[in-house]
Amino acid sequence: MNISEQIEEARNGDAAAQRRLFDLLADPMMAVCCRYVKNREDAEEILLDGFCKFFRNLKDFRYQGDAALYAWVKRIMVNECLMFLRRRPIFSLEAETVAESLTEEPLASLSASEIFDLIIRLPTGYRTVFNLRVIEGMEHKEIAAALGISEGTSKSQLSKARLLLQKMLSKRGISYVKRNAR
Amino acid sequence: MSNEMQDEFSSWRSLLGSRDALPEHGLDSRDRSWEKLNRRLRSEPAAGSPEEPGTRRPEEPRIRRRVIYWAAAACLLALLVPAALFLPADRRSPSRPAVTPDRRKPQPAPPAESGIVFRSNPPAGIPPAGTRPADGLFPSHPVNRWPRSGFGPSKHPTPRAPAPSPATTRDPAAATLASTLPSPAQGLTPTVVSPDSASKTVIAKQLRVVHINEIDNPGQSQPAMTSTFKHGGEPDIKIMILLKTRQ
Repeated sequence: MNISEQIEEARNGDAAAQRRLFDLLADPMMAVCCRYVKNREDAEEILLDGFCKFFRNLKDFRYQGDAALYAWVKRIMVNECLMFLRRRPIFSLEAETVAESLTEEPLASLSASEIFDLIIRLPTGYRTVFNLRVIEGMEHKEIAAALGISEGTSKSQLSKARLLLQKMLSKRGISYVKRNAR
Repeated sequence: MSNEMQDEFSSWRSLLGSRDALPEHGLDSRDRSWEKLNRRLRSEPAAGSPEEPGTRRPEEPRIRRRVIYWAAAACLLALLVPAALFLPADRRSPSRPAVTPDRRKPQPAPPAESGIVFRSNPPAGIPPAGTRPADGLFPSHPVNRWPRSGFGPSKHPTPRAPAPSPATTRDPAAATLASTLPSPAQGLTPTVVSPDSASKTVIAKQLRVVHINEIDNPGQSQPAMTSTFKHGGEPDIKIMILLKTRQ
């Protein structure tokens, strides 16, 4: 049975089809949640909330391929994470001046697990902005609207996150590759 | 900077963005998680079954609290409404004074310089003192024919106002004063506010008036300025008048 049929059955309330979709998407979505929220229990709660929304809004979803389904569910999970984070006072930092751009770039040789370990060690505000900007590819304006912060704060948080990542990589003995300043 | 950032971390995005990037960070127990989710989706947990420790149901205590508030409000109403209905009217508010028709007394006017206060008991058709329009604005208004009580006797008494009868005065001093003052309007009763103020008025009346032709009389006390003309003989009467007016 392909995914399109499973979605159709899950839309009609078939628990078995819902379970199959859950098995398919739960692990990657849990990794997404863990990238935003350190605590695994919190991440699991967010995941379950996100799946509840997914199954309830499945009737409005038009299947256009696996990638679209994955992107849609991921979007739901990221939104749930942001809702969770917004309930906590982590973005009360004032907008600061944006630090000057680094003239170095990180090595591309890092594995996903190593990158994940680095990201998860960032403070919550830095991590959230970094995830949204770098991994999800959102603009600062979108991030500011999603988190209820100013654009300047978003830029500042990202800049600090980069500096901190650079320090962490230096401690691990991973050097940056110098590139020409633009 | 934003474009630089995109390029700089593009490798990170492709690594973490893929579906099977972090298999080790998946769910610990998929079955248990599914059970929780299935229960939430059906939104009817089995009766008597204990709640999972991680399950969040914040709306239940809220509903229970709301029911308690409504029950308390109903009990309060059930107590207050019969009490309000069956209690006698005079016992509902014992501390409140009884309202009499003559409760609303007019404010007393400020004491006049002459010591006489006209009680505001205006005749029919004349509004109370506080509501009178300005004299200059409404000269033909009947109120403006009513003499003011706060500024003493008028220098130009109107012939329309009748003199007060002696029976209306309560004090002999007041009667004396009333006779010296222009007659107030009908319905106004002159009364002495304090004996001091009345005596002041009497003293003011007894002050001696020095006339121009009395200046040269040696038997009477003269003002200091006028006495300087004694040595020079007869003072010029015009100079005296000028000096008096300057004083």
